[in-house]
Amino acid sequence: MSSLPSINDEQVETLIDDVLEQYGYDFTGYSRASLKRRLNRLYSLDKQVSFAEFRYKIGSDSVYFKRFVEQITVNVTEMFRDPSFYKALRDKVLPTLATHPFIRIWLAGCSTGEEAYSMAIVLKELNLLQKSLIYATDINPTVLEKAAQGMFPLSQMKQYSENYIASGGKEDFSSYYSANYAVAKFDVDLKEKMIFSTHNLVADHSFNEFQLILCRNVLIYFDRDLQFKVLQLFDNSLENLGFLALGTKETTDFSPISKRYKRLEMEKIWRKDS
Amino acid sequence: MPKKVFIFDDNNDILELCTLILEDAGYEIKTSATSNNIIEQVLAYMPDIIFMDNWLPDVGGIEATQELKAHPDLKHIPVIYFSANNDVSALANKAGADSFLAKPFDIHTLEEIVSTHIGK
Amino acid sequence: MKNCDALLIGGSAGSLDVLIKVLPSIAIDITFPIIIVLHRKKGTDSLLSDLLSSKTKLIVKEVEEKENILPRTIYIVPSDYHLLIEKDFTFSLDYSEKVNYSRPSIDVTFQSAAEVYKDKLVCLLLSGSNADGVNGLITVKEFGGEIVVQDPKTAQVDYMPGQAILRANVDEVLEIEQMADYINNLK
Repeated sequence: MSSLPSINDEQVETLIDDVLEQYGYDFTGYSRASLKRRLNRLYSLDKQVSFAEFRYKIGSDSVYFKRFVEQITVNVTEMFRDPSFYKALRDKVLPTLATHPFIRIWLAGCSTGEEAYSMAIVLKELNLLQKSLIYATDINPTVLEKAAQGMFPLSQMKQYSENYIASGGKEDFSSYYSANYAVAKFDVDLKEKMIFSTHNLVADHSFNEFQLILCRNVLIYFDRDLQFKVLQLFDNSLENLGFLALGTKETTDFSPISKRYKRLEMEKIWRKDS
Repeated sequence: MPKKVFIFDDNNDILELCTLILEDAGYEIKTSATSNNIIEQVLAYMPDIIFMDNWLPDVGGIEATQELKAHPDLKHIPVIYFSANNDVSALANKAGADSFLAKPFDIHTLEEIVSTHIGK
Repeated sequence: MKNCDALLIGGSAGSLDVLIKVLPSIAIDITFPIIIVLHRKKGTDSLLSDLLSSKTKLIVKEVEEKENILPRTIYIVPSDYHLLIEKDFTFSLDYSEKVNYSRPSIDVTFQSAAEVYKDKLVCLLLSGSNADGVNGLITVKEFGGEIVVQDPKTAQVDYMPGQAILRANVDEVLEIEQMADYINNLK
């Protein structure tokens, strides 16, 4: 059995063109290695028989296209991922923002919501949740629906609890959710300050001004040019002295905005200083 | 006679890396991923210094350290507490450890803390 | 000898030991990059970089997002990310599902590299307790690259190289002492 990928480079470009033309979704700036891998993964997962049929299905079946978008983008996430990052939020970033009468936070690429609920928990513990609003956006409407439910597999709670404690959390983590069969449902009051909405970082414009923008492990899927473009979008959406937080292996360095952003010591968090 | 280091951590990678680094520096290393029967483990090896991770399975790092410090034959052995938790110094104090090392640490810091406490 | 634009080394349990022994003997005038994919847990990145750095005069660094892959440099894949290679010879990091319970997965990087370097790729698989990397070796071979494994008899954990010999059409089986010479002879 050949282990060669079923979809080759030219076919990847063909699909990208099709999708742009048919649905207006622009994947041209996505890094090709990852995109190709996701496409081949989907092709195998769905046991497609030929590229022609796969291409046709994507182009003509809008329900399948929804699945296509879900699977092409990476939605892997966990609560309090990189605990030291959340520790920095808790100890340095949020206390600084506490002086604002109102805190607006944009979580770009929120996926199924784990980061948003983590943020809400930290805000609640700092008594800041009441005056905050978390805008959680993603390109993918399906994951947003899941995020709005606030239900995660119970089996993950042990790991999430460890992450939470390592990030400086002192409460009983299980007090934030109620367990039901295999599901942990997080408290409704955490969700009250969340707004879920679709937003495509490639195509959509700035829609508000924020004091804190988080976009973690999303830029890695974009090529350099698109990364710079998105950073510009964030810059347009961030108040002066606001904070921008990226994933542990991401950076604003070399981008057009880098000179106006000063990095906090250990984490990938920058403060805008125009 | 090389000085002996005993490292307790449930992360095999940490154990392997620290072993290689400290062996290079001329020490003899023993490792364990559990604090089960900690007194017996330490009595059997009689190290010159002990590294204790916070998150040990069975008995946690704090309790394990307290047990060691309560034992007449072992309380003199320096215990260096380590943790990825930013409150590592508070945890180390609570445990009664002699010093602490915040994770992630680098080679230089590791070697320095060992040689400060027990020489080369 | 084999034409080489990149050497990839993958391994799990027992591989670090091999690297410690082989790195000091790798010539500093090799003309290709070396990319190392080791299975590991989070939190040990700088220790690993520092340790390997102390064993060689070649530059040792952790992979940075979208950086150019340079010759004579040893790159280490960060923990908890997959590493992909772009057609323009830059690195892309990826945080998708674990493959073979691993992230980084050796299969993922070997396969990605095979598509880019094709027959100018050499992959070496070391000691380890699962078969991550074996499918990768098969792909590398299909693209014309050369696949090499550590002799299972000398491996701390023989499962990984053993599976490779069983399932992939391995070009060479090397003892630890033979590895540096083999690497230095690649052009």
